[in-house]
Amino acid sequence: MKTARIILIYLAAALAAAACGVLFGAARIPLSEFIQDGALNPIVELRIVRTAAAAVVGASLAVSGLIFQAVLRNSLAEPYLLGVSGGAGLGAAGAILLGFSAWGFMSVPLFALLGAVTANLLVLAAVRRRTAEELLLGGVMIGTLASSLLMVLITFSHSRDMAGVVWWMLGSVQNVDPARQLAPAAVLLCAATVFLLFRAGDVDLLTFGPEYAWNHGVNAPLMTVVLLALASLLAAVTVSMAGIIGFCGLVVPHIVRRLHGGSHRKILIPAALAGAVFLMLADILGRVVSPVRELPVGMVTAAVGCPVFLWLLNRSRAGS
Amino acid sequence: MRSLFNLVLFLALLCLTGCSDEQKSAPDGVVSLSPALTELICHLGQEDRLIARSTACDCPESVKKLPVAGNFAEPELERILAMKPALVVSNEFVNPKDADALRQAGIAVELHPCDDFDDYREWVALMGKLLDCPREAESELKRTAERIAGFEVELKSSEKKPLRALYVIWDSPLLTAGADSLPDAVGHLAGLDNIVKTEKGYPSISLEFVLKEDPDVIVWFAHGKDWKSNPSWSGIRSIREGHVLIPRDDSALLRPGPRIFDGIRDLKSDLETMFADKESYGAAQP
Repeated sequence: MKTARIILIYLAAALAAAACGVLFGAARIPLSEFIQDGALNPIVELRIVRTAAAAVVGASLAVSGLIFQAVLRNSLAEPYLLGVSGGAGLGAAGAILLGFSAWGFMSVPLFALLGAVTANLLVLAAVRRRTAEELLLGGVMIGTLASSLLMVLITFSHSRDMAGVVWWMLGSVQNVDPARQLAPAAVLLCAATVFLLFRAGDVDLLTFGPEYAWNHGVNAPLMTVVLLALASLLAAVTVSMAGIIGFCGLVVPHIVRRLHGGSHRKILIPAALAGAVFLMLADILGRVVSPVRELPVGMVTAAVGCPVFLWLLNRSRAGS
Repeated sequence: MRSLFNLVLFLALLCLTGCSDEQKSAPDGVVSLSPALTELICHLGQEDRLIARSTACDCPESVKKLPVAGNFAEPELERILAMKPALVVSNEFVNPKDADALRQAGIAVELHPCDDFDDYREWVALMGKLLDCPREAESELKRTAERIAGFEVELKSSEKKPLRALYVIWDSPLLTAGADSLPDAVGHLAGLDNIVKTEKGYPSISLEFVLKEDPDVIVWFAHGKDWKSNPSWSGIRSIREGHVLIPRDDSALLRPGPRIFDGIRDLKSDLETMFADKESYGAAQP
């Protein structure tokens, strides 16, 4: 199938999911009530923001996961691998437990972003030979260190603050500031996608190993660091915006790669759109299944994504 | 002379026996790991029996001088064992293994729920027995019944519709007080109607549900958190109209302790001021 047609199909799916995201939720709102007294119904406004946030977060995680899996040549690679989740968790918990959250709504996301970027830079600084294996190990080490520091913070915290940290970690797209969080994340996603489209050939070559890429004219060590830093930045921004949402960045790239092959120029935009669709649908499911309490989106992504992925895995094996 | 000597001896023995009995039934070394129970012990006039508290116990002011024996419902075993208390009291959240360790060391441990008015009444009666102060306990039980009855009478006599309220315990994610929680009971006596009816305890709820239910007032228990900088809250009518009430002292309303009725009175008074020009809430309650 031609790339343009594939993209169009994914785009149609994304638009359909976005429409569902605006139409369905905890409250039943007839179309006639979408506009009230000349202004947008606040519930519809809330749905538009969270649907857009789910789309941007899902797309960013899928693109990030795609790059991680390609550059590290590891099918278990995911966006949080280089200490991003541990660092973000530590930053957010620090902001909540040490009282910085009183500075305003943006303090927790900013601390989470700071934690994620710091952890990522620590991995890149601590690992001298930046091979896939060593970066992986460095990421695990820094992630473990951040987790243990997080445990120290939790040990000295009050129960109410602790509940806030736990809920933040479950991930949600409900509380996203459209101007200060969503817009910058969308700009970053677009910029990263354009850059990756230009460098898709390099990514393809890196999947065969750094030596192979070097022999074909790619500065493999530099490109590895640049690509991983960009993928980590995408993950860091999403985690600061919506908490830790697992599975999307791991499974969506796998599914797209299985369906459309390994050319990154061909699968980059479909992967981004598939990630957006996946997270928008997970968010809708979370708020429709349990309208009052709402299921955390991270829980829905794992609960739904896992069986779907296993089914696809077995189907493709049976086919081969 | 001899009969006088016998009388004095008898009285002295009686006094000693009485003292030893009191020693046995009313322990002097009490450790409280729950702020509500610490307040209750002091309210019953037994503060001198307290030898340690939890980090959360901050009322009355004088208890802050006591040494700390752990966090809320989290005993520090070594410290407590070194203090050799006779009794440790807390709610049921204490790790059972920690409680067993204390009991094995010969320390009496009383762990019971302390979440609502019924729990409070049970604790008052129990403290009356444990600390040998039945009169004070009885008096507190009577005061509790009278205050609750007083609020109920005010509610029945009011012709105004209760305000629909959302209790915010934490803002992001939105944690609220559900149907059987203490804020729900407290709010009911203050003339509020909790919008969260189907969920119990302290659930995390969706903003969409809040927008749909459209509460008249938000009682903000998320101490130190700010709703103004969170754009997700701006669509809620009560936020736009400025009907967000921060309790004067949220600990008085979130702890089932002796100050709770003053807390309810303050809450009611603040609501009356906030809605003085509205018909939905009585401006002058009896």
